[in-house]
Amino acid sequence: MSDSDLVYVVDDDQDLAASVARLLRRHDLHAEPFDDPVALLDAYSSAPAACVVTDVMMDQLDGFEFSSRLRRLDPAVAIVFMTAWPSTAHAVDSVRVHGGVDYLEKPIDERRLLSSVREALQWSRRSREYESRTATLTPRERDVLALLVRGYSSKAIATELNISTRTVDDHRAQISAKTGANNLAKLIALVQFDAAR
Amino acid sequence: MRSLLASRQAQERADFPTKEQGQPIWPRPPKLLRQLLVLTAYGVAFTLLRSASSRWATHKLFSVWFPAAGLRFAFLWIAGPRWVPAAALAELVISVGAGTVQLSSDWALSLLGVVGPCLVYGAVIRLVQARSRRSSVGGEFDPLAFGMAAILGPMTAWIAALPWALPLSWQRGTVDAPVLFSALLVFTLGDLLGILIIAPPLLWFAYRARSGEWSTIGRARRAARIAELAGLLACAWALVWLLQRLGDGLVLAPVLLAACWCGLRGGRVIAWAAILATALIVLPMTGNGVSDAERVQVHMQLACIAVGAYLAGSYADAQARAIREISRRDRLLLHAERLKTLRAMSVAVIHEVSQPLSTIAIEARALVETTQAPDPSPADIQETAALIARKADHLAELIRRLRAFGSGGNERRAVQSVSQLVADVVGLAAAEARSAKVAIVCAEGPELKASVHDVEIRQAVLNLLRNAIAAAPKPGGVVTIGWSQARGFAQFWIENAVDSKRPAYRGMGLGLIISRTIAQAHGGRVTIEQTSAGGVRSTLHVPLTRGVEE
Repeated sequence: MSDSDLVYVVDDDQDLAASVARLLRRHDLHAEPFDDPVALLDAYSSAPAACVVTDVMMDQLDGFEFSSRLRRLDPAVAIVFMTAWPSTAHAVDSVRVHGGVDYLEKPIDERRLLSSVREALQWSRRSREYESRTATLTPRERDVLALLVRGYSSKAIATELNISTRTVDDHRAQISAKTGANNLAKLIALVQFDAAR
Repeated sequence: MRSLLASRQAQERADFPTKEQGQPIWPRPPKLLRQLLVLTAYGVAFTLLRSASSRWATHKLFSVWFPAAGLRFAFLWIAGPRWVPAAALAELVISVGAGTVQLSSDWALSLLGVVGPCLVYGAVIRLVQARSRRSSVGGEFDPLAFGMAAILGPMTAWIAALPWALPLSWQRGTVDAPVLFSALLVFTLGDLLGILIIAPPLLWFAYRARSGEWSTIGRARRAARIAELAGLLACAWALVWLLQRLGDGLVLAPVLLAACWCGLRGGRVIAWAAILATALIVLPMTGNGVSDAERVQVHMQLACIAVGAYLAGSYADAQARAIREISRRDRLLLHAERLKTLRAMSVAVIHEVSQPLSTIAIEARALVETTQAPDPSPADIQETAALIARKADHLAELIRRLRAFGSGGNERRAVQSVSQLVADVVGLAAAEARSAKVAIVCAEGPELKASVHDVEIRQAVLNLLRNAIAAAPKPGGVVTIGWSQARGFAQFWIENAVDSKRPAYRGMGLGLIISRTIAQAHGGRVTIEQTSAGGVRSTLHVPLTRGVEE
């Protein structure tokens, strides 16, 4: 259990939020309940989480609106929605538009909740890893990386970007050093995760 | 003759109306014998009444007061048209057997004279009953239908009597037309009076004996009203007496008006009592020793009083019945509307139910796991169990409210606490308000009690509250509900700001109409006014229960 695996449970029904948080804690997850999404947004940057499980219908703030604002604060946080009034449109939107990991119906299926949260944590971990590994790349290095993973040789990249082959090789060395991916296969794996996101 | 009667009964045995269908308490005679006994009793009673009426006979033919007709009418009305031939035979057999009717050379005509009216009455009753069955909604018997049959019967019998009365009177040497006409008039008067005075109480007893509802005997005829009507009738008679003393003869017009008034105010029972009282005063005056002309004249007035009063009473009863029926249907309609409201609220309600249910499910499973652990913590278990109990209570309360709201409700009103009513309504609307993102604020008022139809008042207030929620600005709108007291009325008021961007009028506006209907049924009203802040305040006014305010 580490802070990077922190889970927030948000529901305007305080008892339910507490119950879900306790349930997660019993399964060795680090969970905290919140009954006010606005308060959580205010406090979030000081204690970012890996995953947020949120209700859709809430008094203070709609679950989808809440997730959009949360994403703006932290693109690497995974979101799981839960709702007492499921609809197909909401289910599709929650995954496609709001990037949710899952859309759960209340009363909640415990096993599905646990597997979704575990999946979300994994996603968040990789997301953060990607963030940290690509955070220091310069814009030019990102351009080179984009072409590399599409199978371009150094020469082809040099022609494409209108720079010398030597400069391209320098960029490649920098990319390997910063991301820790020392061959093309690892680079492709890294970029693929970003594309999936 | 006997065997003919018996064989007829064998055919007619189908269904003589009897009260018990189940196991008899003591061994009863076989059905055929029972029917025979009933018919014999009917024939004997008929013959006795017929001889009793001879005191009022004119021209040695008909009586101006013929109670036997009332017995016959009541019997046919209850037993049904199928029994007409059997009843006619019973009358004939007993009359002939007792010697009150001689079958001489003109036996065919005498026979027709005895059996004819019975057949005519049977036909009239059959027609009227069929008609009323088509248009009425069941229950006892249509009061107006009986009144009309009672009046149409003698009239029809009068017309149908010509074919046999003409040759009969000719044979007895009284063929001249005015005499025949007056004889038939006497016949009609006698039958009218007999039916209107004798048949109603017989039917009243018969219907109650059949349904077993004797409890309604002493019901609802308030002493004050009876005194009022008795006083009125007495005044009318005083006026009649005064007119007679002044030399204007026996003029019964004031009694006619008074009796009609009694009928309109008191229904059939009071009308019949008025008719009976009048008849008891008039009949001794017109016994033997009074000239036929005077007798006919007085009895005509008496018949007018009887017909007028009884029709007025029937009309009043029919109207009371119609009002009862309308209010019953109103209740059904309101119930249907409540179910519609519940359906409209179902989305919010499901949310409201699945929320605590989620908690209960998670906590119950946790409880199972905790108790299976090697060292369960009692504090933990206690806390979890308490949470489950709290959530279950919440659910039970929600369901109690929904069920009470969806029920048909009682017919009677009861004294209710206003604050409790408001709390229940707020509880019902809470889910919907939450999903509409509107807050309901409850402004406490004084503790009041009102005698109301509890479910319907809830419905009225809930409709107003839901309208306010629909009209309030979203999200973040506020609806305030409260109550107060003014001039003997409890006022449930609901205030909300209006969303200017949205049209204020949504839905079919049926909710307000229903609230108004319910308020009016309680003797109150619904008012809607603009507040100074630009919002809307709707108020439901319901009369307070006097004497329980403390």
